[in-house]
Amino acid sequence: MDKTVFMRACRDGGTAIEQALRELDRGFFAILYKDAMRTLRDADATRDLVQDTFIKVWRRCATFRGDSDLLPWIKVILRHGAIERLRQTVREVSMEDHEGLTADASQRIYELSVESNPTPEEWARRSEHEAQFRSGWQRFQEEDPLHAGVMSWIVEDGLSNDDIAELLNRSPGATREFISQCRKRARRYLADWYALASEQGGSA
Amino acid sequence: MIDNEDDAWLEGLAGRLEPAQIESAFSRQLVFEGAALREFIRRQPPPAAPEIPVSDVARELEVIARARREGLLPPAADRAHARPRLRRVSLAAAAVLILAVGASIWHTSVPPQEALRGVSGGTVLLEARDPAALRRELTEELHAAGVTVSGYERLGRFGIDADLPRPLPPQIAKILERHHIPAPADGALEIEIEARVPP
Repeated sequence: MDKTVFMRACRDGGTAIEQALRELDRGFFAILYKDAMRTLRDADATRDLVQDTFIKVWRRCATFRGDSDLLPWIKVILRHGAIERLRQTVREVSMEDHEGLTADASQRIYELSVESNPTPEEWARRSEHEAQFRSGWQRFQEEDPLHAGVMSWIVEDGLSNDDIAELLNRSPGATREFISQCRKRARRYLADWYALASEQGGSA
Repeated sequence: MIDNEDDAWLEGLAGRLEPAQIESAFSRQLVFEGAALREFIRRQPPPAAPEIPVSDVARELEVIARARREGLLPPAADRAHARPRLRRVSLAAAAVLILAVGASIWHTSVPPQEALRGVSGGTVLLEARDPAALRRELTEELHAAGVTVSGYERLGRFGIDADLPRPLPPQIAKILERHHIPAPADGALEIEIEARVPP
């Protein structure tokens, strides 16, 4: 849906909104569903969230100034909604830090993750890393979808400290603490992956 | 400038910094860690989810009903209450309509009237009194707007396929709107028209 059409419908109201809701659904439902499903991991809850987002979009349509494209603006509303829902079910518990990767290991695992022509030995290592990561990440998403979800959004859209603060509606200090918790939780849930990297990094 | 270790980790995770850009060995390690996480997160498959059609009339009606429930659109009941107040106008309009319908039956060069029946698997399903005439009219209008259209007839259904330019030019959007055809999000327009069964 074009943003100028959206802004005009917002200004006109009434039946223009009905038509625009249809266009929003056709244009963005599938994209937003995919985004929210990664965080909520429940088809019914995700469908409900996306439809709720469309309603919120129209309640707040007058605040859209057209500075950005429509989709990123709607995505922020969607993610606010996802965070609200996750906060209703997740109790935040502070977590103590524990050791991450050694310098060699972190470099090694990074190289393994981006090399394009690996040797057979590197293929085997990469598969092992993939399997360890997948099981840890899946558990992270299931048990702590808020922190895992925000990490996914950082990866997907390159969110900055300020973006995350706005998304979480937190002060800069509280946002830093949240990011710190993301790092600590990743190290906990992905401990086996980190351990494998440290082991192979140490022997490489 | 990286202020602390969490910032270094975040920069790596967000893909804004390459480890080689960092002087401090400790910060570089954290950028590596964030960047490694980034690469692995990006490779994770999405969770299993049902196939979501781009266009789904039932879903659209659901969100409109929700908008009514939440007061964003006037409730359908309000519109029903408004009818008695407009009864005289409605009766007059009905009389005009009856005359118009009568005239249209009598007249042979009347444009085809169509109704949207739904969208199935990306194909727009229309119902028209004269499917062949509607297909001809749609083909001519889209051709005039610069769109290449291919038509077919299969088991009594008339269809057209066309690749629409994106973003959709206003001229083409108006054609679709006039015929109650939802604009395809991916630009691939597929329409099937079947004959309307007389009541």
